[in-house]
Amino acid sequence: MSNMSLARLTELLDAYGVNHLRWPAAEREQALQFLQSSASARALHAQAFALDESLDSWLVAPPSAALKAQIMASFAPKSSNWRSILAEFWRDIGGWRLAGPTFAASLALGAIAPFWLADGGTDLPDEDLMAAVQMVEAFAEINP
Amino acid sequence: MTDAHARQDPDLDALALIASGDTRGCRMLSDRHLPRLHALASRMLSSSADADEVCQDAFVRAWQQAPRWQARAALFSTWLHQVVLNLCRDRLRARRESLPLEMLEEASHDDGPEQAQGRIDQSSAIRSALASLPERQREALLLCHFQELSNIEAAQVLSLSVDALESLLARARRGLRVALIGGALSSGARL
Repeated sequence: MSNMSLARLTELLDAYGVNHLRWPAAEREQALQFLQSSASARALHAQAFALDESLDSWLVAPPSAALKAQIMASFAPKSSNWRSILAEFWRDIGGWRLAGPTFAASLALGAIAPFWLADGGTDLPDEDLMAAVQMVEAFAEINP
Repeated sequence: MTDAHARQDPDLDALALIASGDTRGCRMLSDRHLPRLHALASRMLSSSADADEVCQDAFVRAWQQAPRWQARAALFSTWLHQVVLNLCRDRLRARRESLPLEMLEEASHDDGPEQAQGRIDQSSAIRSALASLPERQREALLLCHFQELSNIEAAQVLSLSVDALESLLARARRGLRVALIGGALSSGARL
């Protein structure tokens, strides 16, 4: 049983024109069946034809071969040389954003190492360790 | 609907190739979409030269987007249409005051001189009539009629509901009919 009405077909023609391929997929089949069965629907369809014909007459030049070549040339695939790979790796791991925290960690290690080495590297005092960690965290906060 | 679209997106194969640096993916994507996107830009901007620049820009963005693209509700071609439409809007905004009528090369080269002249006149009339429509109505008509996007795709490109798109289209065609009849009457021609 078709749910299509003359009113809905009018709306479809008003919005999408006469080419059924432009009609909403969900209603297309019902609208086509309705067209076949209703003379009034066919009259509406015929009336709407002129505007579509006018629109279809508007042609534009296709893209040139030169444009296609330029577009292809604009593609820069990933390079396989070692400089590009290193640069990409550097970007992936955070690039210059890592410089601050790395510097802070080096400073902290420099501060801790003498105590550690003097004690044989076995029993670093807890307060020194905490101070070093705090220093790293503070530096990382101001150099995110 | 998301999964269904993801499975159906015909550009995923090309995007995977592009992501791996394979130029065959670029050729696939440009062969599939350049003619349609160029036609959209030409009609939006009334200039083949500007359409060329818009398409170059759009495809550079496509190459950049390809490795990051994840299958989602919208098709990649819908995203490409959005990019082209936005680039055209930017250009139209920049030269709001004048729309050049310069596309005489639009006529088919296979036509004889009289037919070609007739097509130029008719194309010119359609272009002028479309230019008289509000921007959103014009865009809706270009996407649905000339780009042949489905109502769902066109609504996605324009960020509208399907009902709102349908309403825009109806108003656009009504306005176009009025403009064309007005033009035909003033030139003594038949619509």
